[in-house]
Amino acid sequence: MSVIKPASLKQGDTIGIVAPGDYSRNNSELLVGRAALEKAGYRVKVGASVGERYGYFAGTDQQRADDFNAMLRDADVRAILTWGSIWGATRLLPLIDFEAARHDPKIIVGCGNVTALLNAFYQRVSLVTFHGAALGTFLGSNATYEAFIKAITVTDALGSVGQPRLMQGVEIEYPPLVPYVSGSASGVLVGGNLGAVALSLGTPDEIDTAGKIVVLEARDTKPEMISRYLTVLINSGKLSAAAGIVVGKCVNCVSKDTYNTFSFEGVLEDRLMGLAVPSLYGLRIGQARNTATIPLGVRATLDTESRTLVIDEAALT
Amino acid sequence: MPSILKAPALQRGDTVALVCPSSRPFDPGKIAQSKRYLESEGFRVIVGDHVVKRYGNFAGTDDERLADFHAAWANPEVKALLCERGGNGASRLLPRIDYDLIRATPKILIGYSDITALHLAIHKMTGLITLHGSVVMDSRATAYSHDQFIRALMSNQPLGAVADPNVIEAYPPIYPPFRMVIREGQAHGRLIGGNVTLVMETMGTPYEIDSAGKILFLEDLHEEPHFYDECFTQLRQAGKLSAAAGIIIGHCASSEPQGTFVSNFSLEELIEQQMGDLGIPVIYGLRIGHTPDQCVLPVGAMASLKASADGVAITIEEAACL
Repeated sequence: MSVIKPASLKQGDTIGIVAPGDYSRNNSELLVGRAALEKAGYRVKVGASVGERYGYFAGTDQQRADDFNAMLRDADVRAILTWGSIWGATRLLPLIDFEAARHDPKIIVGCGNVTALLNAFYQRVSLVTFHGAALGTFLGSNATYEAFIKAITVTDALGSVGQPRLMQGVEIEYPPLVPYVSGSASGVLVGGNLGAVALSLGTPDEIDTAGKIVVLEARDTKPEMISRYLTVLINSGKLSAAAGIVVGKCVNCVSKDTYNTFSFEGVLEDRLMGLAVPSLYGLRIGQARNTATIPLGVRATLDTESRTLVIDEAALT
Repeated sequence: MPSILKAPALQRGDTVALVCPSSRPFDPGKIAQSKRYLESEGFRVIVGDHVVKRYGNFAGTDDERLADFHAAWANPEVKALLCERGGNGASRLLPRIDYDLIRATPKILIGYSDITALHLAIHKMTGLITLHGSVVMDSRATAYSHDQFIRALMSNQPLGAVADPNVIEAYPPIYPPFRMVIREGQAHGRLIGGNVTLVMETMGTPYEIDSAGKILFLEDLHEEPHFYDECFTQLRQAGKLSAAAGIIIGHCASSEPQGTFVSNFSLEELIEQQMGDLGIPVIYGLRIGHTPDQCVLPVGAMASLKASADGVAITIEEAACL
């Protein structure tokens, strides 16, 4: 399948901001994020319904979809950056104008529940999208910001992504890089948020993992639920079909239950070590302050010996 | 879809197996207590070898839990498998369960919550009607639950109209009521469903829930509204909601927003949003899950749901056991 790659973002280009899922409590994210993007040399267009509230959603499903579709159809907008959306973006799947992205491919960036949209763009219209920084997180650290700008501007393959900061060759933040099954594998990158990936099963946007490198990250999810998500991915054959598995840095996935449960890492050991698929945990991919922005839909190589995920293919034209 | 299969109803003097396909009991002594209780009801009791083993929060490794489950099913003396509790772990066993063994020797299986995985997989693979009802641990939490539990195990007749628990005190008010009408209408079909999380865990697998033309029932515990909504979105986009003849949402305890968001939708509002436009009857509040009063719904039995301004009638029209 030949993929559609959006054009790299250039100085003076317009970035559209939408909130496809839940609303963000912190309006400063929009103010500061917008200022930072403008200072970096981009114009910013904010969706008409951004700031709306409908329960915990940033507007009704139709309002959020209208915003997203308006950005997709706006020739001035060269990139779409999502805000909030740990939950609820999945509701928009039947309402999104995927064809618009085929006619005018543009950069789409998000994380968390927006994963469902990213993979749907890839599976429905072969568009390369970007998992990583969102409006509220791209200023999380210098490394996060630099990785974000690099991912949306550089037309070369990104190379190694998500390495933790090292001091004298030692990881100085938790978690370290942990391989569960050793090996090396190449394939197209898919995935993102674990819950969104698992809850795609059985739907028209069920994730295709065959021969792919599957990235998984989570936030605010109990180890027991991590275990359940991995179990359904195992029982559906999605993990054994993958070429490789990358588990990012997961935020606040601790157990509040003191009754004999597995820890987060215990769950990963229990579920991943039995697979004949190379797997690596701990790359800075996900929703943490320090996170990579990675392209989905391009070829990458996972190597557990060097503990690297290398993006082999350019994501932008 | 295999044809419907039924197990013989239990009789006093029959042997039952007390098993833990999911988590172990919080207290090991509960096994002995449950055994004495079942014996007092007139049953002989065989206890699984590994029920108090420990692997994470599972009652032993997958191999150990599977060994107990298969041993009970292979033992000709055993007429029913009664789960001590749910918890977590049953869905891990599904690819390795011997469905031929189950098909060859139909037995009663009762439980709920995590046991939903076994109900859905066994019904789909073998056609066996199983019982979504109390685990032994809480089968006698109230007289209502106890009556439902024993009657479902021992009856070879249709269970008939699902009764409400007795409400002795009017205050404090209970919410949701037992049968809140979200959408009026009438439905007729086989019962299918169980715990929302476990239904999710069947999606995309060989054991994926089949809701077409059926009365779909769902319940869960200790989840925030947005989690239910993500699962409802999955079921909706997979066509599982619109295909159903009717929907029963149980009382989902401790499922209020936990302060994750400044404003939020309640579960009730999300049910309305996700299921109110399907043109099928939808009710909310039935005591089918994690509540002291629990009714038994046989998975696979024909039933009817009538929801109107005058009230809600749920009738189990077909015998679950022979």
